[in-house]
Amino acid sequence: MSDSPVVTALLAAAAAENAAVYGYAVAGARLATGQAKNAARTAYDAHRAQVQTVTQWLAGLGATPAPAAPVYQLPNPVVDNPSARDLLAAIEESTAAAYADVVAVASGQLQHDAALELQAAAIREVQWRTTPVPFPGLVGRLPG
Amino acid sequence: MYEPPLRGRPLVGRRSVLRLLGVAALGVVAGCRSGKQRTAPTTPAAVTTPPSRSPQPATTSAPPATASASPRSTVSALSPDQLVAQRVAAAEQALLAAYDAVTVAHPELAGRLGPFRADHAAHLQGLVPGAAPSTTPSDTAPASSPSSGIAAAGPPLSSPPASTAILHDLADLERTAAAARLGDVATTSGSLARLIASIGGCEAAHAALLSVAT
Repeated sequence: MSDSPVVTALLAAAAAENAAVYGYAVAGARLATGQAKNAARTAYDAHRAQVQTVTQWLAGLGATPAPAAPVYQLPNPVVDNPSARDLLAAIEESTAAAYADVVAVASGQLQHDAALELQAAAIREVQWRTTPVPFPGLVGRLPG
Repeated sequence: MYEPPLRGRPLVGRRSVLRLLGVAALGVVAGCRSGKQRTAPTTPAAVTTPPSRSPQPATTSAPPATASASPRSTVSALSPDQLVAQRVAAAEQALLAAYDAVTVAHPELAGRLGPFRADHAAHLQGLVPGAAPSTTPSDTAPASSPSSGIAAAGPPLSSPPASTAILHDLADLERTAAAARLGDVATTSGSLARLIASIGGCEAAHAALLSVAT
């Protein structure tokens, strides 16, 4: 049985949220300021909560996400404050992209909630970049 | 058509700024509804902005390069998706006008706000390929009207309270826009839904950045 497009997109969103939780756990300690660490803690909690939320959405569709992996491969080593911020920005971009894919295939309340989560990820993304991003969730993705 | 909103008065106070923004925004929205889409000349922005994922051509006045096999004439009815794209494009035009109005009144904010304005120009391109902002920062001054001296007549340098109030107002506009995109998304699907949701994300992030800046 193949999953519906909505289930497929939500499974990817759950995976993105699990990866985000891992990423924040790794990068949080490398952030330079207490303010940034607090922001990272808040974001970590938000991603953990979203894992649960997405899991519930999937349960409503009769699907179960894969459990979080024990370790994730990072695009670059996190060794200092800048590399930590880079990772967190990339994580939020991935999260936004996952919700953008949900928005594309979902409808009704689920689509609305996914669009809202995209906005939350976009807000966190610029928190780490400190500069605007014209198309959060679509960065580096070609038209198609 | 353009009436100087604040003839002869210095731009101080939030109320005045809001009025300025409102007038500019309404003017642009009204302009968008008043007639055919202008086919604007190619601008640097049109060349350099990289809309990562643009939707299917969403305008009847798209340039030949994006013309589909569909033999639609320029007067055929817009599809529901095209209507939404046009509506969001009009909102982006209004935001561009707001940034332009602020930049005219407070040139010292131009550099800081430039990236924000550029994002909205990119949104417009993504929604309506070939469209160009109806105004640019340099030609937004009420054309050759006496009030073009507003900025110069104001406080000589940025008075912090005024700048703070303006950034706050822009943050409010962005926040409102982001909320509106949630409604716009609801009537779409596929790549257009993805695009509009992303635009909303950008606007929500703009609001956050502008709020921090104040």
